[in-house]
Amino acid sequence: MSLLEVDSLTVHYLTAKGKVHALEEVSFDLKKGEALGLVGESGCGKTTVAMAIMKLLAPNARVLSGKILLRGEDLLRKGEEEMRKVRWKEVSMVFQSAMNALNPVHRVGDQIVEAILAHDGSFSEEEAQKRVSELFALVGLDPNRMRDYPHQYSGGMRQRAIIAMALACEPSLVIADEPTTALDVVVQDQILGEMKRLQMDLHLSLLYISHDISIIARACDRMGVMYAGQLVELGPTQKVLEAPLHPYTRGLLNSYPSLRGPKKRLRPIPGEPPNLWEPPEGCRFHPRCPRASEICRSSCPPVVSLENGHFARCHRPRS
Amino acid sequence: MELRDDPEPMVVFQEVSKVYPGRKTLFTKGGEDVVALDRVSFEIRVGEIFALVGESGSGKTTCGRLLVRLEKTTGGRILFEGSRIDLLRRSEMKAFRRRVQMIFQDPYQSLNPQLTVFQTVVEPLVIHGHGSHRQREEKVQSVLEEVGLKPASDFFFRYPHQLSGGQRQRVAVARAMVVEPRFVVADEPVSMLDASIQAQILNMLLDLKERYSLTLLFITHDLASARYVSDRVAVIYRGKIMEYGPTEAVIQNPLHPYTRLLIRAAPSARNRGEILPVAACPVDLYHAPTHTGCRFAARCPNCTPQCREKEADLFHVEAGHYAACYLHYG
Repeated sequence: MSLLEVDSLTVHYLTAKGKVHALEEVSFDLKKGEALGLVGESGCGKTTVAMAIMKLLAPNARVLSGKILLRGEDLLRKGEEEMRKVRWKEVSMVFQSAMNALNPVHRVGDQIVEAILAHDGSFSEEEAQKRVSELFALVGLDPNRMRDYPHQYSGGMRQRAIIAMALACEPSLVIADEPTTALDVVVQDQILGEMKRLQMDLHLSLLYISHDISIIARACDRMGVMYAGQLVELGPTQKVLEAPLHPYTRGLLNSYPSLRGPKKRLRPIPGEPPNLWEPPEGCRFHPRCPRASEICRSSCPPVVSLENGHFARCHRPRS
Repeated sequence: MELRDDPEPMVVFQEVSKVYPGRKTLFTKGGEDVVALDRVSFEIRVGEIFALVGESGSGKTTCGRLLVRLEKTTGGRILFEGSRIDLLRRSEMKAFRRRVQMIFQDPYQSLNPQLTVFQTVVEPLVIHGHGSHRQREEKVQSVLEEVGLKPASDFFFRYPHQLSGGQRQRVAVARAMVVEPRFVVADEPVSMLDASIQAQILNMLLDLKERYSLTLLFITHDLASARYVSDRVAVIYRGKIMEYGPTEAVIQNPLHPYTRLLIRAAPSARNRGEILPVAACPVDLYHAPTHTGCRFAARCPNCTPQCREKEADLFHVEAGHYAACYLHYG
């Protein structure tokens, strides 16, 4: 059984300018010990997915339909009190602006101790201290630096501290929303390596969210591609990268310059993503799609599977 | 050290240094000086795209800012078309400001939110007293279409908040291009944009370069986009150029261990190198011991006692390809 199952999740935001169709029928699952990545450009809804799982959506968000099953239990039916038990202990999150997620006036170690005590009553202060020192070692930080303040840490160290905090209550799922975006490539590589090791050692499930397909490519076993609020492709990372089914995935792959292989002219997707107040009729990608035909303009494509475990939401997927 | 292989380069950096003095605050007795650039030398040839690649804090942006005279050097000299830019007279300064333009990283901040697209792009023409009102309007129209904002008249009266990030960066490029500069400094021009828009902007820069035989300094943290646009590249680390040469030579045959590390660490969608789980050893890049030797020594897999004693100078290894590393000393 999957650890997490998101089924036909549809979320709108109510704004002064009208209704934003942020997520439309998004479905995927995540197994125990697996790393799944969601990639997409800004505004595609990937962070909304994360926030919906944590039940931390903005007050103007409306979940119109769908289920979010964690070990078979629907999180959407849980009340705030029950969700408090799920957050941190079952599902924790490494936020996008991790550089700012630590409180500058408290010692780093104390902040994690506090998080442990707040979420797990069975710990004494002393045990929590010990646990933090274990966590520091686990994420590659020197336990002697628990008493430092955040400004004494480099960006990479702060990111490790945030990961340590996310692991504090031994969750089974960690959601990492742009976990390395503000970091330099070398440090980014180390952090991704660290998370890979934790995934294997702790049999942790990871849900990565990023705008950068190359990070997802490196860190994830399976990946999903989001466009304009829809999950347009989902499959094993290798398959999606080597034989993408959806024209958007292909366009995205053609947008990245590479350090390897011969130098080729990039062929970016023309145009820009649609606004989600009035998403295009039919397939949301059709105005930018080189393969669009009549049916793409008029009807929303179904999710099709061409191979085992590899899906695309497209009328004319490349087989 | 002289690095001269072009008789008339557009830009020459000669042993340029920039030191920010440590500041005295209420709580400290005056900190240590920050050496942003340490005797940096390179030259940019006419008609090429020269990329400067480095991590945050490497001094790459400082190079760009010195070059357009947003800041002053504290040592060495910068030549533009043969003359020292720190000795330009007032009258020459205005011509310099027209010939050299800059594109910034964040189009959300570099455009004035109170000006329409037309006002933004026409302003440099007004300042430099270019043509009649009518001619200016035609010029703005043609340059907007050039950067892909078509039809231009649709965009004339829009404000920055009514544009997407990609469109804003196009406006910023149009504003730089409208005075027909000889040389453009582009500081991380695509790093705030989504991937599909990044590629559009990179292609546009390549097209503009071809059409106007423009010379460009492209400043970036991303080696892959540097490879895509540039003819030659310099890799900078903590204020010093570690490697410098024709782009393909540097990418295919990196000489400096730092460049090798950058290439290995760069993620790629196409070739999905597995990430290797790292050993759980604490790293502290920002509090490395103060060095007398090579600034990369603490992280270098090829470090020798010599490296800890004295830092290597840039050394010519092969056909215009330089590296500051003893590995390659004859």
